[in-house]
Amino acid sequence: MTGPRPTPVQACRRCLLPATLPGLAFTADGLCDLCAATGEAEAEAERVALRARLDALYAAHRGTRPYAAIVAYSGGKDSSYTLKHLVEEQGLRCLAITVDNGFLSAGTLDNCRAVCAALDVDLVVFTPSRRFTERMYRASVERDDLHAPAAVKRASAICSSCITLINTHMLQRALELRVPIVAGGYLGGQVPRDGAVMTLRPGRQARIRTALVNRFVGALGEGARRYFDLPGAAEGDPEVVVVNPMLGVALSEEAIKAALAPLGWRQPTDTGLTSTNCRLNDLGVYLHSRRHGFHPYAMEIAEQLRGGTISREAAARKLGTLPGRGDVAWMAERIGLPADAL
Amino acid sequence: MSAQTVLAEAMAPAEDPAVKEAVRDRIRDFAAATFLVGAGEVGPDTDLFEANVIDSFGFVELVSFLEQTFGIAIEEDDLTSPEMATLAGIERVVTGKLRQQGALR
Ligand SMILES: [Zn+2]
Repeated sequence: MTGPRPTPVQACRRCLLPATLPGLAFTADGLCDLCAATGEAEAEAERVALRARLDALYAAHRGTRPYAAIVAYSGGKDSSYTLKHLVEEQGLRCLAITVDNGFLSAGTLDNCRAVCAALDVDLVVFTPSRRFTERMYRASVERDDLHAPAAVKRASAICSSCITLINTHMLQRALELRVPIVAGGYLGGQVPRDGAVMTLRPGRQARIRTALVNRFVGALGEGARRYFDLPGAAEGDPEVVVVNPMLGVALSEEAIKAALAPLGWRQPTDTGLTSTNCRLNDLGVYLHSRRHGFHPYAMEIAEQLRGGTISREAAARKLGTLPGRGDVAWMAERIGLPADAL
Repeated sequence: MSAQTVLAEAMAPAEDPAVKEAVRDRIRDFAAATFLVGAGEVGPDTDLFEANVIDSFGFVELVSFLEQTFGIAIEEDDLTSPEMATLAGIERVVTGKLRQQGALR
């Protein structure tokens, strides 16, 4: 596939994915192989098909249970929009669950409460042991065996660990409360394209989970098991459908924020450079960019460029905005990283 | 896409060693580019889950790659089969399905 390259490609001319992203090949005219494989019309057709699939799923579960869906609610703009979409446009009764990882910006929980109040949604805030999460973040930086090698393409190691804990918690609660749908606010690039709708049967798909639990327990001790294990098939192998509705939504960041304003959602002012809810993102971005030579948001920004929901200038600005050592030192210290880790 | 063309041109039953080889190469190339593991790091019988090569997102990517590239349907029984945990097993699943279809699309 890769043609001769007269000059080395620095980044894809369409989606700005950098040549430093591992596993990526470029065509002779400067397109990455992901862009070369999917045209704009195909991407739009995919999105339409996905929306139809999601609509059918929602219709099947509307009003059938006390809660039709659990929303992994970070309080950021994307999961806030996801919650609004499911409640207002799809008519699903949702339970919002926010995981407080100890680094949420001051305004985040206010946003969670305001949006849930406006949408008439029940909210649970789960705060895992601070000592455990700080050890987990430190291990995420210091070890390279917690996540599969390809995870570096999607997120920083810190974010990957946090996301794994959060996703598992949502599944645990869904299985416990018999909620058929778990919705995340992930964007294209943060999860695979086919990650928009995934059916999970924990009892029958135990192999990947067992390997994951063993890695976290190996690194962090038996105490990790409660955060990463799922109940097995004992209860008739219930099925949970994991959805990421944002993969079917083509809205710019500005449009999303404008839609959230009437619900009382406000852009927090202390989230650092790279997030609308979590301050720890900046430490993840800082370490990831230095270690791997590309921004951990490169994949999702590439998807937004392909989908036309971000301008080239805004995308380049995001990719070029990196936190400095002084922005992140306090977080590194709090999770116990030695000073030379930065 | 390109593998589909190669295989369509072959239009041969899956027993054809050249087709088996094409299937193997295509899967290896995909695994190398997607899971970022070199040929030397993972053997045909390495358990890809235990070796931390494929996580749950990776598995989703693998399944849709197989379905789209080879024009086959990965069924629920395949998803839970231990065959899906190794490169050699995945090749057997694919060639088995191609054989069932009588010819390669
Ligand atoms: Zn591209």
